[in-house]
Amino acid sequence: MPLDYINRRDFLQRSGGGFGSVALAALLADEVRAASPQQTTIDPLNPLVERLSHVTPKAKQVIFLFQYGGPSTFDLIDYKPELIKLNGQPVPESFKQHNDKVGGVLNHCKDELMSGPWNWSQHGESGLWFSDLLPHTAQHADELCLVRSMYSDSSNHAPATYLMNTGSILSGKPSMGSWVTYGLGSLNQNLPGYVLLYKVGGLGGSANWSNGFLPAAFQGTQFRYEGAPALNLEPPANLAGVQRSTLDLVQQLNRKHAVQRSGVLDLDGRIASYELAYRMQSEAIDVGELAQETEQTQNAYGLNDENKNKALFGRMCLLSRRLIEKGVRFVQLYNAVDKLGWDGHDNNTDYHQRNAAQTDQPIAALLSDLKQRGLLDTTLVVWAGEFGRTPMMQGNNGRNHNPYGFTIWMAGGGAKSGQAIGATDEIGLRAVDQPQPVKNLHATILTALGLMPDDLFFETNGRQERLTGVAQSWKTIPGVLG
Amino acid sequence: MQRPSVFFRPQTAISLVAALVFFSTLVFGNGHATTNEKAVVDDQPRDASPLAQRMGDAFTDVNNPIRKIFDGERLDLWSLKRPTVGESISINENSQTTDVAGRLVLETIDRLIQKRLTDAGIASSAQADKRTLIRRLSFDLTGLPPTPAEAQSFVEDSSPKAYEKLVERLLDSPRYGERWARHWLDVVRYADTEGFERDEFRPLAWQYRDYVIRSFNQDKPYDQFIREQLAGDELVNGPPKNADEADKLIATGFLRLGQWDSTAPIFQEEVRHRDQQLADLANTTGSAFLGLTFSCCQCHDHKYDPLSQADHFRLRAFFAGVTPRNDLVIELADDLEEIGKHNAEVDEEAAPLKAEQSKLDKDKNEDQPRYEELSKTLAEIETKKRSPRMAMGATDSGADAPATHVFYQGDFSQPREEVLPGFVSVLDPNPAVIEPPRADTTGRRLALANWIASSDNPWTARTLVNRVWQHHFGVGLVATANDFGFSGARPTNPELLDWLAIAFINDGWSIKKLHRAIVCSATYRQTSDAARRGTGSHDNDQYQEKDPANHLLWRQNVVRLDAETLRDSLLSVSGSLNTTDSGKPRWPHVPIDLLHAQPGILEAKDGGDGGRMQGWYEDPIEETDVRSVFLARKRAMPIPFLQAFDLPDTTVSCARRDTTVVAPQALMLFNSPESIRFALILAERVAEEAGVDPASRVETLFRRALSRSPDTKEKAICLDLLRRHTDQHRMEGAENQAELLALRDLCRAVLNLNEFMYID
Repeated sequence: MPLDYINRRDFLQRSGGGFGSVALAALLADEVRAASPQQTTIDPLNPLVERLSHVTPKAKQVIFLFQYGGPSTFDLIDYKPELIKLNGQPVPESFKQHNDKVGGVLNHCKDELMSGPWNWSQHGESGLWFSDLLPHTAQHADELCLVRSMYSDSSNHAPATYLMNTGSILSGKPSMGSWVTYGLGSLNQNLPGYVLLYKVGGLGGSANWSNGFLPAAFQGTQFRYEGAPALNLEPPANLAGVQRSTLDLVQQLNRKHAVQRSGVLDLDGRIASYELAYRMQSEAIDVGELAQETEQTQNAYGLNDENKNKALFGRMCLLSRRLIEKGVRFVQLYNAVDKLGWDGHDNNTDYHQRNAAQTDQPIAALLSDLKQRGLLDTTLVVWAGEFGRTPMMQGNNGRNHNPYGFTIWMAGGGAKSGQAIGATDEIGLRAVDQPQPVKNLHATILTALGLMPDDLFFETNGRQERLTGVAQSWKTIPGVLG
Repeated sequence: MQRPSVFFRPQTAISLVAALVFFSTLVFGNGHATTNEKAVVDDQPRDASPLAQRMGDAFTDVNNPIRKIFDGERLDLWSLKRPTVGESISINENSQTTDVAGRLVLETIDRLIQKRLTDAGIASSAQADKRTLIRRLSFDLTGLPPTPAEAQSFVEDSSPKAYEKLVERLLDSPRYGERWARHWLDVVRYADTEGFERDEFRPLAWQYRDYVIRSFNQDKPYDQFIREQLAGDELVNGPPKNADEADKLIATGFLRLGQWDSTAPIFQEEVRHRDQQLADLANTTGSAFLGLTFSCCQCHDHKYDPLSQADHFRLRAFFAGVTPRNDLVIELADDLEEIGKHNAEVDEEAAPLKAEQSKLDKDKNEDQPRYEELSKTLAEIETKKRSPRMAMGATDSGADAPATHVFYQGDFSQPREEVLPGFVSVLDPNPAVIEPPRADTTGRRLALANWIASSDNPWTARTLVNRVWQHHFGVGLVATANDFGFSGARPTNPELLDWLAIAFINDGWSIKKLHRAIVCSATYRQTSDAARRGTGSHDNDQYQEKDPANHLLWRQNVVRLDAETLRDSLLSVSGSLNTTDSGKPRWPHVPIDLLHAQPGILEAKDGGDGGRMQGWYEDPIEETDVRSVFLARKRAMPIPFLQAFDLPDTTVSCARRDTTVVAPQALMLFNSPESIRFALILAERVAEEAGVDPASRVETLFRRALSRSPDTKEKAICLDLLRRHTDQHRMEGAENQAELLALRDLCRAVLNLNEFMYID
């Protein structure tokens, strides 16, 4: 019998003098029923077992390409001819008179607009515009679904990064990958359901892939881009020969111990977890064997490129495809190879050239590879940073953070491709056409996976918590899911 | 109406008065304190206005705002009613609740448990064996397993008071405070860093951690513990005159434990951040001391409980004057004077040289050598000065505090009506009566502290006794220790919860007396064995069916070690525990690629953090073999070994640890370099103690790790493993070390056993 959530806690809460009062039941009835009949049921002995979605899904798996530092999207994928025209001009007065809710981004900028030095061209049948920073991604124009009117609730890295990953500007909430694996489990029981790949994470640290108040089974697990794919997968080399034999003794004594304590579920669970860990060793090591890939594939991802940073990010992209192939539910990559990322305060051109060069080819290769293997239809690929950057100059060639309007893109997994939704103003400063808060992006991703955002909840500290916040406070981004 | 009684000892007239007030009028919370701090707080209601002009509680006054917002069903909240004593308890017995031996006390606990079991047709379990009892008690009270000698001497002690003696020894151990401080640090979301982008080290936070350890070890009355944390600064006038006063200042570290984003001002997000800070303080105060969910009424009235949105902001208003301080002088007044004198002497020594220097011109060639010589000498003299010790804490910014407004839908950019500091409206909708203790502070937090730390408050004592119960049984009488509202769990044994709360107050809010009462009960001493081997007469399947979750406590619960206790046990049984019991946090080794999860750490490594201490400051390994409560808790980088075993987040108050069972835990405990190291140290220790005989090695290992001897079958399979692994290691070329390595393998296995990981 599956327990409702794990380790007795909610079980106790529910079956013991819990909701005893008739008055309370009446009180709760409307709200709870309107939102959802019940919390997701987790089998504590098998927390990652595949669970049914609420409705028919368009996507089964997710790859989230997190763009740390805040990419300047109108230097990449949001063509702004007016900004180019106004290069070097003061900011028109009409843009200054605005009651922005989020802190003063403009104060740190010069009263001077700055366009990037890049050329723009249209690609594919869709005719989407790309700057020449992204020649490889541009070849996938007809597979991308751009949302050009995102906005964030903070102009500060850590809160905005938390928001993009967890739906809250404060740390401590479960990340999207945790929510998704909590809702759906995973397709492979021998690997973690939610895997992280990074050389450098996001500001705010591991809280960005925290399981928050959700059970630990849904925490993001780091896979390494080189060496042993995960920490502690194997013992130090000189213990390899005695690994199974030592484990056998543990299990033998554990079974004897458990028999004397029938009814303590955790003891059986722990015995099972050691067997799973043993299976994970071989399965995860196998995922990490990139040498199994053809040279052509390796080259496509840039693994042998002389740009070591590109090669490194290429490894992460290739690993993520292999993880998806193995059935891992949610894979997240961080683009940065140093602490700078896209955060071009002092030299925007330099930062963007460097980061585009590192990521463009591997990301394009990932899209091609997924498509060729028939995985793109069921894998939603998301490209997003925590915010964008200002069209105004900061310093001599920099751009400041801009939470008021920026672009993200999705591909595959049911996202209607070859289109751009929403728009910022003429200079790329603020989202004006169909502005989208981050929670709408989260709602869209959950919906693509067949999860109803309001039905995916967890009760803690007296509240029903959700990735998308208060029930019905979100909308899926219109047009993305067709 | 219940009979008035009983628990208010005649000599404590205040309690008796309070009881009578309660039983006759149901008037709550007029905010006067009952114990301690008499210098600051008097026993009289301080409200000068006639009672008639003040609005009454929601039970009696139709104009009470809560009554207007919600219908009467909200008033049925169980925790809103003052604790009462069930009729099954007679006056005589319970008039002696403070009996140090705890005998009558434990009879009451057992009787209240027994009553429910009898009603359910379930019999309680037999007492656990002595080996189980000493392990359970040692882990519960000190967070460490017993040493083999301790276990043996207890098992062999046949005196009638052997158990009680053990309880006293463990309660007197300094390890007790370290264990129970850790529980409290969870509740107050303690960390050593600021959080967010930079996550800077807080170099003085550890003083608060040590203060909590001291407080538990001293058995500081809980009401005093509350007052010190919320308003210690308002209780001390001028430099501290003694260590207790210094502790009151350190205690205000509580007000600083939330996250702080030093980059918020760069982006003009201070207003929003201040909103977050105040919300966090109000929510944490509500969760920690009252078991109320104030986070649920920040944007609108509470969805379930009789709390209004105004209540959230009334609570916030108590904190409106809070100013963070890293310069609270905790040097005692006498020492401070001495430091002043000493520094004045240093100044005197420097004065003639300074005078001479002032007459020289440093740019003149003939003056320059002498000028520079003097500068050097003066700098040397200056280093003789002593600076007083400081604490991280808070004070009010002055006699006035900024106004507090209710925010429309919780949005800080939409302030609406102003509110004054006030308690929970359902009990007292009036503005709190506040008398500043001095001219330079508002007195608001002291008023709040006195209201919380009052025997009249229906939540305070209950939340605390429930937390203590939870850590002795794995689950509280109320399963949701931070939520005593409608959406939380109901008490499984309300009479017992109330009885404990009242006894706790009557016993001077003594937590050690509470422990004593609980652990001396027969209920606590039961076996956890659901199969009930040895008792014979029970139908365990039937009980398992009737009460599978053991709500009624017909047996003890099997409990998993938490992260820190696991690590501390590994240190302890391997004999490598460093006995450091205070001071700056220690930084253990963490693999570099994990540290890269937080770019702020990289910035520090390159020296780019401008001295803000954003980094990870690894200590030599011997210095990190301290109890886990002394390890650095960095918000952006929890220690991976601990995190694997359900370390809680430090953003919000943690009521109860998760105890999940997942494969990464197996990988961590079985394969990690930390674990293998402990296994090897343990093997060396066992070999040293037991000599070369494999059988006595197995015996010694079991006694160290599991406090018992192996049975025949266990011994056989362990010996078999030693033989096989010795051969294997020999084959792999470890000629001289083969036997030790085989023993290490066996140690590794034993440290991974469920029996090591779970307390019966």
